[in-house]
Amino acid sequence: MKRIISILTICVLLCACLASCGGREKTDISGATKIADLKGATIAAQADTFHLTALGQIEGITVKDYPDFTDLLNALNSGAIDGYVAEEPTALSVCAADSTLKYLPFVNNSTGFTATDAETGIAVAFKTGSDMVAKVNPIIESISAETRAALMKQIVTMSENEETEIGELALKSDKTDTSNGTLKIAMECAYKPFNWTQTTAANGAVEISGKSGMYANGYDVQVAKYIAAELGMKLEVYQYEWDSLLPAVQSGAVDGIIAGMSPTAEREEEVDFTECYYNSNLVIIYKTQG
Amino acid sequence: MNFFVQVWEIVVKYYPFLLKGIGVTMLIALVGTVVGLIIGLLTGIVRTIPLSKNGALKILQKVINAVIAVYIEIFRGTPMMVQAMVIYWGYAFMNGGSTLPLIPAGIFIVSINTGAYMAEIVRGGIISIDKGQFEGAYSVGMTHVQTMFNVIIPQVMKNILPSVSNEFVINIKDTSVLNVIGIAELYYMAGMIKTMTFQTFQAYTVVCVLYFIMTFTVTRILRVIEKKLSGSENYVVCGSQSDPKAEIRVKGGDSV
Amino acid sequence: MTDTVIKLDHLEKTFGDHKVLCGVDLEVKKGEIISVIGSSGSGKSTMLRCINLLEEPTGGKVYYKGTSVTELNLSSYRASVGMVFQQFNLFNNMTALENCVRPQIKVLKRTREEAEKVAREFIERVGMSAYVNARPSQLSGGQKQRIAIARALSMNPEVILFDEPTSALDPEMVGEVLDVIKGLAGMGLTMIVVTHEMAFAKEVSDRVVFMDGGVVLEEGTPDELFGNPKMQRTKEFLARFLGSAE
Repeated sequence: MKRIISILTICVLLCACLASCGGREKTDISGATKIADLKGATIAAQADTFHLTALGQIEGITVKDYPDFTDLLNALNSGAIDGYVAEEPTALSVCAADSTLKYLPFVNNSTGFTATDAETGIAVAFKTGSDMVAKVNPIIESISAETRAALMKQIVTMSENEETEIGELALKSDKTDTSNGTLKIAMECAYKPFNWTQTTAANGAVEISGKSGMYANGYDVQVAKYIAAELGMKLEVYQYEWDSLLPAVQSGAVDGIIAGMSPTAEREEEVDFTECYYNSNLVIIYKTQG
Repeated sequence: MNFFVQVWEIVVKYYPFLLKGIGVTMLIALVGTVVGLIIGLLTGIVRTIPLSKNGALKILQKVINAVIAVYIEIFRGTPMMVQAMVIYWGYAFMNGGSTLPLIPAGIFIVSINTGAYMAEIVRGGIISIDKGQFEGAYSVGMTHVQTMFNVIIPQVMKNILPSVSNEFVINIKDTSVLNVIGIAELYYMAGMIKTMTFQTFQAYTVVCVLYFIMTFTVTRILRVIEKKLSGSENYVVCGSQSDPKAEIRVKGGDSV
Repeated sequence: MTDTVIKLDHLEKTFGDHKVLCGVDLEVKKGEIISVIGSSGSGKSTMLRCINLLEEPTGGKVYYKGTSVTELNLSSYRASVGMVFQQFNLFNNMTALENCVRPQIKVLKRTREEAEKVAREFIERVGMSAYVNARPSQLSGGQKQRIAIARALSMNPEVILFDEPTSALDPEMVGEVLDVIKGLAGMGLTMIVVTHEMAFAKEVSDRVVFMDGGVVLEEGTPDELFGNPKMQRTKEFLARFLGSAE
């Protein structure tokens, strides 16, 4: 017992030491109206993304990168950075979960970053040479910009609390025939509001294959449901880690990826992408002072 | 204080996931350790068979020993996380996309990984057994396999139990790397809760405590078993052939 | 010739560059008790271990009842040629009784009841009935050696090889073990005893073999060898040995 107490004491002391080790000089970016106003701040983005490349467009900032998007959030909360780049839907979800967080609503190609649709859009990936791309493209094109925005609004509300009853979703297929087989779709189920895991089937969530009691929901899930229904197929959602998504489709374990994935040139070499099914403004999430 | 409230909220809201994660972690770690031990024992027996005089058999033995040596080197020399990715996706690519069921795949990966370590532990255990034990068994006509199962392995087991317990505890912690192939063990659940709540530190604090409770409990239980197995110091001297109740209990020590 | 049990024909054994046995010839008849004496390093133990094939001879042959032992089934041959070691080599994971029972079950395929009956009989013979449930670590050296003898006897062997059975014992325990071995003399067993106990060799054996430098230098009845040794080396050895013993 004595030993345990002494170990605990040492732990507490260590934590106290770490906590007292001074802080970084913070920069208030809450008043920024365009990306150039961020000068002097420390801004982070997820490694290996267009977001990180885009930070090169701002002069006089300190750029940092982190491997995982939740790391960015930790960095912001701990004070290591002044803000980080995120897609607007993500920012909405994150800020809704924590009232001390806000975001700068930049608009691509005007107040925000200069970017093409492919760079800020997300698309469905299929195995190279698959005829699915041609079949799915018309379905994606048939979803209007208004429907996309309306659906995303509902999804963001949903992401704040999965149990909140949303009612009729903006995107819904009236086809019920599933005689064309199964459509296996992979996603992380860990990227709110595009895809996440929840404990109930509320709001049209889909049970994750091989993981009973765990349900996937989010923008990607609803789009996947819509595509499967329009194709006359039954949807199966598979959960894979980000790094496993491409192998999953290449090996044939799944048919496609709908996981908030941008059609970058490097990925184009591994898989084929459809048209984008959502385009986001890139915004900066920051922590309000005090 | 807010932090502890959030931690508690995670526990209350996600306890079914956490319990499931603990179940999967313990299942994979336990079965993986046991199967790994069996692999270790088998390779230990094979590797200590004296070389045959028969030419063909001798070559076969050398080939098997070389295969075992390569297996041990490869699996000890690469991270289990990488092995998991290579085995899981290697299987999928070779079989046109049919993937291994996740939990059996996890058990398989932990088993062969543990087996590689156990092989060395068992070999060390066998080497540490007095040569006289082998000779005693050979001198009454036991074969190598009989000697192993009747005389050597029981003694090896007793000697290596602390190392085996250690492997088990290591496995409880190391199954966390299996989240790379999506096995829903405890660490995976932490990642999931993290993305659902955006509370990274809180989520990992919860599983940190849970991992500690698991390893601490298991360590204590295994220590009790070790004590039990090391046997009682006392034995019974039969005092009379006619009266079975007449007996003298002797407190034994290491007398020569 | 039928009553020759063990025959060594120019037996050789080399460890690396070191030649331990340089052509040992020896014939052992059924029921004979032979003591092998000689200084340390003369090859006595190696010869014994070669008979039992714990060491593989590098030259020459060992015959058991006229057949070369390399042609025999190793298991059943070893079962019929028991061995008692200097370091006892009892199975540490078994009780005294189990030490005698398990080999019978595994090698001779006896049932447990049968094996236990045999084992208890021989354990009684060596005077260890009270200790059937003790583990080797709970026994004294002399007690361990008596159980080891019971274990060898339980296999109902034709021959028992004793490899310096009393060398690792405290002086006060030597007597009990030698008494047990003497007690076996009447059983008709063939015994080859490597020993430094000259009094024992003199009293018990039918024949004494003196080994030196990896060969059998001289052999004869105890009276001949101890009373009137022919070779100079034998005289020296006996003089040194008996002299220091007094």
